[in-house]
Amino acid sequence: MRQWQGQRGDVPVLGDHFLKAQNITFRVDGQISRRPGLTYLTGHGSVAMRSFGAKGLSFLVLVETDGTVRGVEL
Amino acid sequence: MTLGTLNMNTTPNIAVLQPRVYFANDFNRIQVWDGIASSIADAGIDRPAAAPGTPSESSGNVTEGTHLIGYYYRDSASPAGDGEGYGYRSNLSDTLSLAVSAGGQKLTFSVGTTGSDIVRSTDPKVDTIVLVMTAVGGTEFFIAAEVANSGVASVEINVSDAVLIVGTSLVSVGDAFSHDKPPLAAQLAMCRGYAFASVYHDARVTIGVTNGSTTVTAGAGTFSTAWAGRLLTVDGGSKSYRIASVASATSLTLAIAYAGSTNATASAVIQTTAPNRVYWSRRYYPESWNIATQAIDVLRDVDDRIVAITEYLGDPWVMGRRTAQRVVFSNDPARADIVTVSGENGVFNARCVVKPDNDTMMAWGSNGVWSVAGGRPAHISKPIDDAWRAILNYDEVDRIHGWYDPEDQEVKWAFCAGTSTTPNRVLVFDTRGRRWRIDLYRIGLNSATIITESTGRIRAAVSDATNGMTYVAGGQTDGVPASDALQGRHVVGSGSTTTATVVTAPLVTGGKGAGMNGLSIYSPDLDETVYISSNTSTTITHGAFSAALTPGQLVYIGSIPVDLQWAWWPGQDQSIEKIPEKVVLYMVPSTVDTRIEVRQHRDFGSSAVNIPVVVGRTFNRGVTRLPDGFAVDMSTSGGYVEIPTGAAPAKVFQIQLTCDDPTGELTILDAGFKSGDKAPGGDGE
Repeated sequence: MRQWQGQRGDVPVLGDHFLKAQNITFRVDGQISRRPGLTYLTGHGSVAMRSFGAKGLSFLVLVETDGTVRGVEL
Repeated sequence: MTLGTLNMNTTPNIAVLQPRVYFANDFNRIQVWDGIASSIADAGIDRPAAAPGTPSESSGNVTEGTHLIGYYYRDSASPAGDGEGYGYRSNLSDTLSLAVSAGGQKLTFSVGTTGSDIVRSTDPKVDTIVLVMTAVGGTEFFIAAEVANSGVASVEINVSDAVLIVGTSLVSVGDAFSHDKPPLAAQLAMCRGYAFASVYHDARVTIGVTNGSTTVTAGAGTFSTAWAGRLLTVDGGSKSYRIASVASATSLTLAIAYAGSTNATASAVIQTTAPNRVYWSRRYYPESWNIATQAIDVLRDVDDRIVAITEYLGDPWVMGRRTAQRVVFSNDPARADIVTVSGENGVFNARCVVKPDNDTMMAWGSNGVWSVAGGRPAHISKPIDDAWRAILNYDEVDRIHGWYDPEDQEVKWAFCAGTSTTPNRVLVFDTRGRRWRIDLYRIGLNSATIITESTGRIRAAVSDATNGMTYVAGGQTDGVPASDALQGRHVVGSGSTTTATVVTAPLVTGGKGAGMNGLSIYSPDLDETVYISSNTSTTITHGAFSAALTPGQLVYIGSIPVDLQWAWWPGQDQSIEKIPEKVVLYMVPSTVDTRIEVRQHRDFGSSAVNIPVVVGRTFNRGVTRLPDGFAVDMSTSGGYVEIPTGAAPAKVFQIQLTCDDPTGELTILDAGFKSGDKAPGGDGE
């Protein structure tokens, strides 16, 4: 009778038992949790970014929407 | 720190070959940063403009006879630059043929600006000038002297051939490859120490053209001065014109006069004449190229265009719109074979390629998501293809980008849905359970990557350019500071307006990251989301709601809206045995006030049905009635609740669970319909 057995790990979310599944994460096999949120890192947004290590330091290089290139030390 | 500015004609491609990072955008020369310099710079080094000037001569050790003398610029701080003859450098200058005679066997060159025998480089990366010379009558160059690129006014060559030829030969350090500066490129990738670049990019421009004139004008920042030789085609025109030269970002000259109609605001496209060409650098010298010879055409014989290049298991994979080819080589790409990859494996853009681990690559293209793990690529997104195709905004596929979240072990691609230009929908593949879903973020995600924090923790980072913030994955709500005691769930006080909402509990302040700036604020009563521009301890200033909120209402800041809709379940209409009487939920009770809402749909209806219940009816602990469903307070429920369905006949049933409340844990263990009673009750009992 059930539409979904949460403890099963082989059940696809869409196509078989769900029409829509949004912002959830299957933590332990089929157990559903809220998608982990986001934590602030830096006050600069970007359209392209990449982590980069040099000279013993770790950086996040960012290209903002106006083309400004920034390096943020992690 | 601010490192410089790139033109944004196209989204830059970023690649790393330790210890430097490179940026390619098909407009600026490839840019480089080493983590130390205060700004990005052109990759590669321009060669000296002319041969050395004639030196002054005095008595010394240079062997009598005719020598060839030249010089080049060197970046001795570049990788391996501490070894003589190694490090990133320029091509050799033209050479001076000098007949050395007795009594004039020490050669002294002046070093300075234009007019000196040896002209210093203005490239900030250059710190050394290297003079090379042949033995008498020879053709092989040997390093004869080095001098600093600044602070020194002269340099001497005072070495006999016998000493010269046991020194460092340029042949021995691989000079034959050439040290051209990198080509203008739109795609860039590193593979086995080589840098691979390709040019293809349609540069859309608005220009002014005049019938009979070779001059084309445009607004600021339109033309790259490196676009000479490309083709310009005005929309609707019947001919492409080769660009003879580009004087500035606002003016270029065509090779022949424009024959079309004069138009001050014509739309046009500028394209390379070699859209399928891939270039590669000297190995471990990503700033030394040979544009003329070290190149190959890829995807040309399968009628596709280069969209992305990436390294996979030691080969460069060149991907087009619907096909991919491997550049397979042993030691030298110049002897590579081009191998077409089985299947239809295209990508929307270069940022759609994700490598969750070293031997797995996944990519999203028009044919769906494909994955390869050492063998033939396989199409894996069939369960969700209809879902994303139904909502994807194909006009904005250049904004799609993917990333791997190592803590969730999920591969994700952000995209724009419907007519939206905000990439806040995220196609998600759970690599553990091999499940698909589509997430909805309240912010748009414009880029993402994996970062290694100073503690060694590896996490995904996502960036939202609209609100100017970058986040790491983790935490309970989207961007709300951990110091907010209510985790973004606030009660509205009195005095709110449509653009300023007053709350009853203190808010954290301090700007981005410390306060609420840039985050979304959601009103469940209005079902509207707007963005916060600033906040004090009591008042949130934000974009306009359609109405001012009233005291006692809730607002959720940075909330993550959960929406879970079951597939339609056939109830077989009047069959009593198949009519669901209850929905049962098994959940982990929350320690704080967290609420989910349960609604029922029938017969493919988009609106939830209003379930009739008996007056005075009591429900399970934590369950309350809504106008169109039920709410479950997870902090007061016991972990198992039954929710009446009304038990009315219908052809198909569907249950929808939603949660906009950002606070507390939300963990659902299982759920389902429950029936079995032979006689349906009016309220489900």
